[in-house]
Amino acid sequence: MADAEVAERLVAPPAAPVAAAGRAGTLAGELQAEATHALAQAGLQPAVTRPRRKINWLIVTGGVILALVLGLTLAAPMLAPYHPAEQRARERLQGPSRAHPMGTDRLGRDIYSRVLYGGQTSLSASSIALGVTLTIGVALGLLAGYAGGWVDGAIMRLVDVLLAFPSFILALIVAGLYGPGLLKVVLAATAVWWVSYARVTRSLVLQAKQEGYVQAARAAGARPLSIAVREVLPQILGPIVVLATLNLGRLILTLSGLSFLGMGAQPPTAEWGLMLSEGKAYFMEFQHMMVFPGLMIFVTVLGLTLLGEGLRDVLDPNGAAGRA
Amino acid sequence: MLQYTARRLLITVPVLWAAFTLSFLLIRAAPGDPVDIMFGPQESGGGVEAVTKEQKDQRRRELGINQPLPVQYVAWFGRVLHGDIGTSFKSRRSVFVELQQRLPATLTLAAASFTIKVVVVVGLGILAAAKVGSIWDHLVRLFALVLIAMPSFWLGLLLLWLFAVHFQWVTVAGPATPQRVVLPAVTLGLVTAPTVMRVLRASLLAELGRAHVVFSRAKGLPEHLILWRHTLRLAMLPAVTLLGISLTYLMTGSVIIESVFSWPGVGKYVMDSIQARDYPVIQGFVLLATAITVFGNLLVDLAYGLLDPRIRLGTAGQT
Repeated sequence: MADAEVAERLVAPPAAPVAAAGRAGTLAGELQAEATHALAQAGLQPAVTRPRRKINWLIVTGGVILALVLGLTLAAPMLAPYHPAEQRARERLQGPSRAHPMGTDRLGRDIYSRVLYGGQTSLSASSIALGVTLTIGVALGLLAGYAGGWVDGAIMRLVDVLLAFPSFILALIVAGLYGPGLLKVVLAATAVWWVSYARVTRSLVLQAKQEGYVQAARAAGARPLSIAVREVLPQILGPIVVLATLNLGRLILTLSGLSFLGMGAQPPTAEWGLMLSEGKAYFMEFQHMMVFPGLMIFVTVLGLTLLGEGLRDVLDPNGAAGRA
Repeated sequence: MLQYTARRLLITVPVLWAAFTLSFLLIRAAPGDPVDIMFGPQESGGGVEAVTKEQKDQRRRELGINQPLPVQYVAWFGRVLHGDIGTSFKSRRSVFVELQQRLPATLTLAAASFTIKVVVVVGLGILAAAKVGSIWDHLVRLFALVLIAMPSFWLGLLLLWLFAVHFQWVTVAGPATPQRVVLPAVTLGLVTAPTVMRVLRASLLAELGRAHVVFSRAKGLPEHLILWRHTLRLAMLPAVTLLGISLTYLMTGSVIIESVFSWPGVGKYVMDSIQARDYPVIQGFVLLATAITVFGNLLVDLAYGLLDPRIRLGTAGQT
């Protein structure tokens, strides 16, 4: 599949790094140089080398979309005309109007306000899930890759077992048995999702171990932990950042899906998946209840996907993140 | 090939066992007592239907959940090895039979969505790769991007709105008729298509960039022969893998879609069983889902070995 990734890049050559300043810039440069080298070794022509740095439109578009979503969400207290839980019995089930730009729901709550506040719930839950999975996955991947031996074996067997588990089913069952709730769903998701980071990190560490700088550090007498964290980790961050960005989108889809099933966020919380499920009962007559929350999920995940793929061109030209 | 098959088969045993044990622990560690849920809380007043503690204990003995966990585990495991995955607490019928009853609806949905997915993936993937850089290629890639970001339940509701409410071509609720399977199948097929579509496009392009293709072009072979006869088979490999893996997902992971379209399949049954703490059903389903996943992956690996001799000989990477 590495060949395939490379090929895709050959056809649509990646734009050169744009906003990557400082350390990230040099890292990206190095990785790109490595990719070119690898391509040459594989007997392929390197991707079109561009004399001038070109704007990566994937990053720009994705970044702008995300900034908009994030801005709307964070500024919810200022932008929202109503409190997200405020019920106005007389204004129930209204279509979009001047007073209620996105209409109202069955309890007379303003959907526009709830969509804004709902972003806070959806985004923070997904971010927490991402943070925890990232930490566990990268730590275990580093450990497995660097320690090797039985430690590696044990961790990778655990990964094999978890991969055989249908992850969505697991989250569903945990949420169902331990009681619904956003936090529980997040925990259940993290129990499975770290696997992809562990695999990517491990394979990158195994590669890095062969590199001169690691051997130099070892010869200089640095301790294994220090080598793993201070030498190897910064070198392999690029693909992990890419994977994390793309995974955040998938996490948002998963968590809002669980909320849609009634297993995640509970009423009266404003959360996009939950709002959609509330709108489901009325979608025959009042489509506005399900259109807007769904649109927000879609736009957010779209932004993250664009950003992630743009970053991949810059930070992960070998497509390591895609081999998760 | 025999040795390869045997090796792959052996690996599945510990994986299945571990997944089974994990699900057992997970389910039994959960709060909530199935008997209490069945009869309602104990101190519900002295009504006529109130169940005494003795009756509840009696029921617990019948169900075998009064014994220590390790004993239950061994007993359960023994039964599973004999092909008995348990009896539903609620209906007192075999979990196997209960799941079997709902399986046709889920399988119909899985088969229909898989068909749609394959058509979309193969059709659009080849179109994009054959006309790379053209407007078609860009449209296909945009389409894939949109589908990646699309929440399945939102797409489902939008399609329902469009075709059931606006055009009134299909009915929203009712029995699992062939006509009703179309919308859920389209939804499920579409949201799972983009990844495979991209992989197929990319691997086709990689294959089209090889020396033998250049040679074929140089000797004047028509482009469609190059594509269909000389590149497609090898280029299909990664896509076949992903399609195979997704087949298992289609069978177990359609809970959301079944909920959106009120499809009377396994997913809905499991959701109800979770609510009722019907342990054997949940465990049976986890076992079934895990087994499907594990064996699905196994079959994919074997198919891969058949398509690419390098893999079954263990010489991949030595080309």
